[in-house]
Amino acid sequence: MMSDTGLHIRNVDHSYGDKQVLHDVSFDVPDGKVVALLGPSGCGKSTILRAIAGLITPDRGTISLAGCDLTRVQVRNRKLGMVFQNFALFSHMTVAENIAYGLAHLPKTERKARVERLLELVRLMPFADRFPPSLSGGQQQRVAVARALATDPAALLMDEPFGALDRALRAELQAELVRMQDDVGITTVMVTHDQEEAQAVAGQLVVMNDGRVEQVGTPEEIYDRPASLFVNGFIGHANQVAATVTGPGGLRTADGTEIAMNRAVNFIPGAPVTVTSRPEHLTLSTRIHPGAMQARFDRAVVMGQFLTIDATLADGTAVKAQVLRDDGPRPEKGEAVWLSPDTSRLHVFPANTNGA
Amino acid sequence: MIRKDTLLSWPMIAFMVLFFISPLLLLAGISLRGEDGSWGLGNFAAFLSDPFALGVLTGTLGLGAKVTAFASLAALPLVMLYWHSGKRMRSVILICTLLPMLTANVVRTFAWVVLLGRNGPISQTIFGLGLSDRPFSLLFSETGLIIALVQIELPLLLLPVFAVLNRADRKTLEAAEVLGAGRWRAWFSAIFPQIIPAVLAGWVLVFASATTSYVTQSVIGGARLIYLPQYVYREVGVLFQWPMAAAISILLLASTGVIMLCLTMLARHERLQGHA
Amino acid sequence: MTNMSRRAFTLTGLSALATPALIRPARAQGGSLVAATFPGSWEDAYRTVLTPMVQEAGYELTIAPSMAQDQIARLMASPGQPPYDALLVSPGQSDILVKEGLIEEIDPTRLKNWDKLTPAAQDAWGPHVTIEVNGIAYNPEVVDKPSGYRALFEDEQYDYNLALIGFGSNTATMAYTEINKAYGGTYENMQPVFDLLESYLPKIGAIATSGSNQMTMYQQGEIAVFMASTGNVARLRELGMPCEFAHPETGSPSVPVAIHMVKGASNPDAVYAYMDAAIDAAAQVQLAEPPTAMIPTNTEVPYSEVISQFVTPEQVANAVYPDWQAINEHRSEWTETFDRLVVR
Repeated sequence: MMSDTGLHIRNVDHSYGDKQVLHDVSFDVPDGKVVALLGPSGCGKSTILRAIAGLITPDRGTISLAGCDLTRVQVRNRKLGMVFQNFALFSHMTVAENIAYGLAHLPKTERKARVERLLELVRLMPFADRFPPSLSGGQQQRVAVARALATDPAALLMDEPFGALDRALRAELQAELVRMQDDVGITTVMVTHDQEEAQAVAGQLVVMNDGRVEQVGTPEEIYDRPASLFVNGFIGHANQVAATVTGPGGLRTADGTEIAMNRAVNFIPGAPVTVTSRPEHLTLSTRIHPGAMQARFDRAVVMGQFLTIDATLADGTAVKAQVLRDDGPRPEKGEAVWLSPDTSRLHVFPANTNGA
Repeated sequence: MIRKDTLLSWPMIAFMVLFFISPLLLLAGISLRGEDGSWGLGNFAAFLSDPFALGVLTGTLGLGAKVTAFASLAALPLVMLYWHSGKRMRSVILICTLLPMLTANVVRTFAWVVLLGRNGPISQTIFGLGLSDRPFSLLFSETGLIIALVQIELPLLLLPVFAVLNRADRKTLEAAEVLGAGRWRAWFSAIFPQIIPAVLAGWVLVFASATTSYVTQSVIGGARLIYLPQYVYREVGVLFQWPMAAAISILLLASTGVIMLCLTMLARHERLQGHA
Repeated sequence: MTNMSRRAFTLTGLSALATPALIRPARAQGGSLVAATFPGSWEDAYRTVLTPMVQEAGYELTIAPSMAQDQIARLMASPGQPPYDALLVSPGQSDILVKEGLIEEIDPTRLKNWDKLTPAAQDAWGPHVTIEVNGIAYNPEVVDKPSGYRALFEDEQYDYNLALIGFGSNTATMAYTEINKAYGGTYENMQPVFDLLESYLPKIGAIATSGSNQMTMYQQGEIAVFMASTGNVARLRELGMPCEFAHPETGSPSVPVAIHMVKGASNPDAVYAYMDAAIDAAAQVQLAEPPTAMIPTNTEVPYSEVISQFVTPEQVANAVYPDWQAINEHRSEWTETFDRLVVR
């Protein structure tokens, strides 16, 4: 269903030469919301952003904004704002001239007023007459955002907007972007490879891999109910253990541990599967337990109130567990330990080799 | 004390001093020698107070400026074509630009003698089309000289620009387009500033070689268009007035030097810093 | 003598500038010499004809192409280290060379072929190797044969077809002094020829920068008439151009070409061998053929067929020999006046 507000991407395919880089990509960005396109490099997330901007014309599919089909509209007529990875500022123009670039059609006084409003919004008033190369990375990024917002665009596109900045600055500017987004309330698509950044800024994530949309959802949905083994592994850490289905709710891991799920799994008995668990959903014991996997203890690292434990299963699979530091056992290196998964939080995926 | 890391540059510096700086100083010294054996700026004063000589000087600088201007006009469509071409086409354009440079300047000049002559293709085509009532010669005219020099010096302008275009930042162009700029405005605000330093470098090269191209100036320009290199040659080879020739050479060096300095300063402008 | 010290200073200075000229090709055997020759057909002919002859005499000959005035300039630029051992110039330059003390008188007894030279060619400063007879070269397909210099300026058919060059060229200088005479001037008063040039300039075909530049223009059909030597005409015919030679009615200004020994030549024996080769009958027979068609100075050499088409020994005998001392006295001033007159 195509609603008449927000940004809608439908069945977009695209190829560069013989190589298809987008496969039937579809997702929606509700009006005024921020969506992050997340995925490893080369997954096609920047390509889809460029297709939205009109910098490429996709082979197939439609892109519509507020009920208008953009697919055949020229780049310059799409009235979108875009922030580029390295900001792509005009370095021969002052900050004010950069921001005014898209406002050539406005009368001079109006243009000036608008530039001043944006300089205030991004807190760059004192830098209006400076040239971009003399600004810090963070300041340049804010100029890029102001320039993109100056035209009052129908949507804002951002390609790795924080990628060129150092870590400390990134968190600060992410918070600032959220503040500005609250003020302006503009429909935004952001491309990033950094899941923390995506979660910090966006209400909705689109996880992409190999030119395909793997899952669309809120950060919570994606973390708790990953649609694929790739998503499971890409967002947060997932321990992956090879197993075989033994019955409607039963699995046997490669080292023979029988796991009884509290729900039925959709696999026929005998099917090879990969069963995953988050580190925080494993409990550690130094004694044998039914349904627990035996492992060799490697080391433990203190992380605040938690201990992050590295252990190795009999078949060599590395496993991470996160347990409360207090009153837990403290095994020696090489000692045998037993890890019991929270069976309600286990995910089962068809066994394959291309998981993350 | 000699710093170890500068040690490697010493042979080069010595070479420059021996074969470039010292002859130049000698030339400057000779230029200060007056006809009566006295020292002073007499030669310079004589040159600069002679309206004919001054005309030659301004004519030479004017020729440099005209060739630079027309070379820029001729370069523009080629630069555009290069920018919009794919990898293979770019190689073709680059080879076509480089190829004439593999031919000696003298050869290219004589090729132009054939082309610009009364029986040459330019004259014959225009006459054949009825645009002129009789065949005409562009030889020994400033127009012909400018045409030939533009073609001969064009690669000096194109090559640095092509080099910059190869690594130009396309993102800025895209940014301009997304911001609603038309094709030309986007190109001039995003790509043009990036090539300006290369254009200035090219201008310096074209200007310097156009003003000093003795062979082309004398063969195509003839004796009725005198420029400083011929003037210097005449002082040395015909009149044996070496101090005067040295003074004129110094003036030519100084005036082209001042123009190059201006262009270089322009390239240092704050607005161009990001692209330098 | 302030004049001398000034010259000394200038020469020392320029000698440093001429350093590259000092880097001469290394030679072995009985010795070697560097001989300056006019570029073009002279250079080619001397290289092919004389090099083997000099080699036979045991010396290595290097031909260095250079215009007459350039030879003097280079020699002046490197005193004590002359870039050439032998020069090839005309009396216009010989006069300067003698005055500047740049060449030596020769010992005629060292030349086997000396006695075979015409008396006029037996010059104490070096043998004359040929005589250039100058006149008017014209394209018979474009214009009629000119009767003389006056016709060029007065008959309309030559308008826009005539090329001239400046006083840097000997051929041109001689033509101008002859034209000047024809219009009532003298060496002391060149105003008639300059007045004539000034009024004629709008109808001029071209003013070229050098003789070779002029020949290029002729080949391109830009011009049809120019002041030339018989050698120039022979060269153009050799290149397949229709070209005829006309003797001016006032007489053909002629100019011998001599080989001189540079003062301080590294190997005088080699220079004598080279001179001897250049005046040898065998060499002059070859050089009298196209494309050079040089008029022989060796009495044993008959005028070749091509030379006979242009001149007879009688015409050579009656040729006009300009007063080079008078010319050299005024040449700078004439050059200056001419250049200023023609520059647009």
